[in-house]
Amino acid sequence: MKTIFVDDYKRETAHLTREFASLEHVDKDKMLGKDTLALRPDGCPTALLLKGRMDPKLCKTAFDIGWTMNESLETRASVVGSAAMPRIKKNGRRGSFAVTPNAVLEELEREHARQGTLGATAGTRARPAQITELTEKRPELLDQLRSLIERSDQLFEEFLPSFRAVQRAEVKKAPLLRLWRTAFSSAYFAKALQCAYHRDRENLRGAMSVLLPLGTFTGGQLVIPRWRIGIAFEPGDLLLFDPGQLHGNLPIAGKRVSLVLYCARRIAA
Amino acid sequence: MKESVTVLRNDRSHQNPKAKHIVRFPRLIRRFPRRTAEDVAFYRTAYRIADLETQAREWIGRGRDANTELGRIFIRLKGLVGHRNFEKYYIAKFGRPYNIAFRTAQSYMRLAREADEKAKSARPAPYPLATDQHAVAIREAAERARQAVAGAAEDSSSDSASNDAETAANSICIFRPYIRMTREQRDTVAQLWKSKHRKSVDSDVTDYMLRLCKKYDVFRSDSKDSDD
Repeated sequence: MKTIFVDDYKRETAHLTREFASLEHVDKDKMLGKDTLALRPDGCPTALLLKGRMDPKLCKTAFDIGWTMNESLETRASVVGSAAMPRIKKNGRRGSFAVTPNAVLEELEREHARQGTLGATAGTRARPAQITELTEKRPELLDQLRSLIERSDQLFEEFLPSFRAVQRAEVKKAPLLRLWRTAFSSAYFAKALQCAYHRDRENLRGAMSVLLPLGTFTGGQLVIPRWRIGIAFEPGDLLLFDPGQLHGNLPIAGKRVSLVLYCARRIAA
Repeated sequence: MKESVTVLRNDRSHQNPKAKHIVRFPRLIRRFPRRTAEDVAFYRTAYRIADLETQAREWIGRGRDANTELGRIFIRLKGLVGHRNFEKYYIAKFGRPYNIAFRTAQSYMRLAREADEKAKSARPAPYPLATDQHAVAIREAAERARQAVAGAAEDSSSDSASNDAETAANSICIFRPYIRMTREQRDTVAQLWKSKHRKSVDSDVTDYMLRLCKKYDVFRSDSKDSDD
């Protein structure tokens, strides 16, 4: 396994939230294309790419499920690259909730970008974590993903056992929201979506997320600007990375669904 | 199963008399990976520290540029070793062997930080904005939406500006005057406030206050015109 130490560009990337990734944000020698472990300047793992570890059949099943996702991206403004703004009502006044603006949603509609979450949503102070509507309506989708999720968990345990132990301890506190005996509580699908730089706020802090790219596509490398690294993954690869860092995608050509497995925040409350 | 049989067949250890006392187990299970990524990270960090130590030794004893470079290496080492452990580590590895005080190392680190800051401000931004079609389209759409939201706010406020001002002026609010009085007086007034005459007392006090305003020539600037 190749290991690289990355440099820290925290200050320079502070303004990049909601901007889009570019190849110029990656150092030439830091585009990861084979089994690689990226280490932060303090020696802590921040990303791990494992090439071709997932069964193509499982990936195909997951892709078919992901392609049926049909939820709007109105709740994830920063992911699509815009600030959340109040809707303009029919009477011309502003609405009270800030969401992704309609003009941006129309742009995304052209690319058929959609999302969907199976499993648990993150809890807040006011509202405890709960199962998503989609999971309640179609629980069979999670069952179809079971082998894939368990395989991902197996690789997680094999390569980053202490990170997984932390996550597992958290998810064990909410047995009803846990996905079988894995360290995950939720599976998020992003369909045909080129993400702008964002942080995943709903994830457990300090934990790693599993990212599985599915479908037939080119491009769509994940860029983590703080470390100036890019991850050129293909279907069948598995990426473990810290979702608390800004991350976004390069343009995608083809059909792609990204599956993210993670442990939601405040699930035990 | 097939694999294990072939392994046993190929095992010729019994033919070697020297190896008789050595017990060999056929490797039926291949353990993979032998080291976890966390182990790899640990060893790589150790190698990195060793590498940086070698570099530091090379730079010790050169000029100002060397001191800056040395400061850079110390900053990296500090990150790897940990903020708390760095002083002890430094004294053991560099302080005693090379007779360089910890304070000197700190000044080298400051030099390096300052040099890097200068270089960063002189360098063009390393993160230019993305110019692909999707990025441009979304950026423009977001800008359009921002303008629309700003416009909507202006429209709604200009339509009903006078109505809103009127309602705001006529709506009831609470005013708590901080008036100095003795405890006895305060308790009596409190009793009055609790009594059934509270509503009329409330309006009487308001009238009296307004009369005081007239007496002392205190009026709101906008209400003065209408009164006159």
